[in-house]
Amino acid sequence: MKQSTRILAIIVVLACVPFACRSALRAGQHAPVQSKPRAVQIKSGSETINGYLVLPDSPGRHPALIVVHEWWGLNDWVKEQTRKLADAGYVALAVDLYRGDVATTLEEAHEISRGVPDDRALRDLEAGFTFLAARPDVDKMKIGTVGWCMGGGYALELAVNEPKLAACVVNYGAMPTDRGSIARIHAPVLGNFGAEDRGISISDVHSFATAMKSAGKSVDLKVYDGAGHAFANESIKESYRPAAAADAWNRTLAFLSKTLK
Amino acid sequence: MKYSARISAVILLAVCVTVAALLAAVPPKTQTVQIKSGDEMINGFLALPDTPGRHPAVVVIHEWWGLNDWVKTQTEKLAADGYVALAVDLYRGKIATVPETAQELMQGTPQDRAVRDLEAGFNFLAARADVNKAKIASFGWCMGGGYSFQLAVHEPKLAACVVNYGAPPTDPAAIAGIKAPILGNFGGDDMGIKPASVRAFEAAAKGAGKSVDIKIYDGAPHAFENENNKDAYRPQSAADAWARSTSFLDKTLK
Repeated sequence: MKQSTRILAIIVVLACVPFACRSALRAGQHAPVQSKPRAVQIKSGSETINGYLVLPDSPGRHPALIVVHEWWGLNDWVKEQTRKLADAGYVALAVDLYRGDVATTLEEAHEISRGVPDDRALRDLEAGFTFLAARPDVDKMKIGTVGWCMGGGYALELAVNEPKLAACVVNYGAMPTDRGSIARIHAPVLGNFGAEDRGISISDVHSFATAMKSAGKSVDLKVYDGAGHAFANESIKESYRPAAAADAWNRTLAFLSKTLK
Repeated sequence: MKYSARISAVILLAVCVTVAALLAAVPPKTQTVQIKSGDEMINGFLALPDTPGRHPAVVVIHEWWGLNDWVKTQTEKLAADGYVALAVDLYRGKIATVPETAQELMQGTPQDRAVRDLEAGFNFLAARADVNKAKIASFGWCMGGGYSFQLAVHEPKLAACVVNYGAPPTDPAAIAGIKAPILGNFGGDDMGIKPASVRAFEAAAKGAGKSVDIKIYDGAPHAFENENNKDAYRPQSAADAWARSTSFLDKTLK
C-alpha cells in the first residue's frame, strides 16, 4: 500500500473510534438492566414501615431475601448489598428498622439503635417476610435472611421465631444461647465472624455451633483470623478486610444457592 | 516482765481486740459475687445497707459501657438508701471506655443471655436471708434501661421497675405480662427513644391497667443522668430523675 493510502486508512479508522465508542455506550445503556430498586411500604402491626425492594431481571418466581441492616440504618451500603443479592437472582427486600433514620456517627447510631425495641424489630422483619411471601414473583417456601452486625443478631431472631424461614446468614451478630430458642430454628444457618471481634468471642461461636449441632440443626460458622467486627463493610475503613469479606460473600452466595435455589 | 513492758503489752492487746471487734461488727459494704446463670458463673457487684435484718433489693443494670465505676457508685448509693443492691455484669468482666468498644460489646451480647443473667441476679437476691424476696426491683440506664423493661416483662415477681432512657416494649402481649409498677425517666431530645414512642408505651400500659409514671425531661438528650457524659449530662434533670426513682422505690418496696 502506498504510504499516503496507509496514512489515510489510519486517519479513517481513528475517526471512527468516537462513533464506535458512542454506539457501545448507547448499547450499554439499552442493555437489559435489573428492575429499578424501589421504596415500598410494609404493614407492621399498626404501623406502615419502609422497605427497599430490588427484583432480579428475569421473570417468574424467585427465592427471596430479607436484608437486615447494621446499626447505621438502611444506608447506601445496605442498599448496594440488596442490589447485589437481586443480581444473584433473589427478590431482595431491605427492611427499615429505623423509621427513616440513618446514622453517620457512632453516637447517632448508638442512640437510634437504643430506641429500637427488640419486639418491634422482630415484628418488622416478620412483616417483611409476609410481604415477600404474598408476592407472585416469590416462592414463599424459599425465603431467607441476611444480616450484618445488629442485623445479624436480628436475622437469627427471625430464624428462631419464623419456622418457615428457609435460610439464615449472620455476619458478626449475636447468637442465641437459650436451648429452647435454638430448638425452634428450622432454617439452616451460615455465619461469618471475625476472630478479633471484641464482643463475640471464638468460644461464643463454638458454643452456638455445638448447641445447634446437638439440636440436630444445620450450621456452618467460619471465623476469620485477623478480622474483627464489621470486616465485610468496605465503607468502614478500619474494619474492612477485603480477602475475608470476599470469602464471606462467596460463602453466602454458595449457601443461599444451595438452600434456596 | 518490767512494768513499762507490761503496760505496752496490755495496750497493744487492747488495741488489737478493739480493731477485731470493729471489723467484726461492720459487715463488708461491697463485694464481688459469683452468680450461676445457665451453665455459666457470672460476676455481680453487691452492695449492702449497713443495718441488719431483711431489706428490699434492686437488680442494677449497666449501660453499654459495662459494669464500670459509675454503675458501682449508683449501686452503693442504693445500698446507702437501704436496698441490697446487685449490679449484674452482662459483659463477662469487660468494660468499654470508647464508643467503638462499647458498640462491639453491646452487639455481642445476645438478648436471651442478658435476660437470663438478670433472672439469675433476681434469684440470687431472692435466696438471700437479708432480702425480702417480695420486694425486688430492677433499675437500669440506656441499654440497661431496655433490659430493666425486659426483666419486668419476664419476671412476674418483680416488684418495681425503674427505666432511664431504655426502649419500651411495643408488643401488647409483652406489656400485658408486666406486673411491676414502672417509673420511667426519658430525655426529650433523645434521638432514638422519641417522646412519641414513650407516650405510646404509656398509653398502651395504662390501657392495659398497668401502673406507669413517665417523665420526659425537656432539653435532655440520651444518657443525661451520667455526669461522665460531658455533652449529655443535665445536672438538674439528673437530680430530679434520681429523686423520683428513689421516692418511687421507697413507695413500692418499703
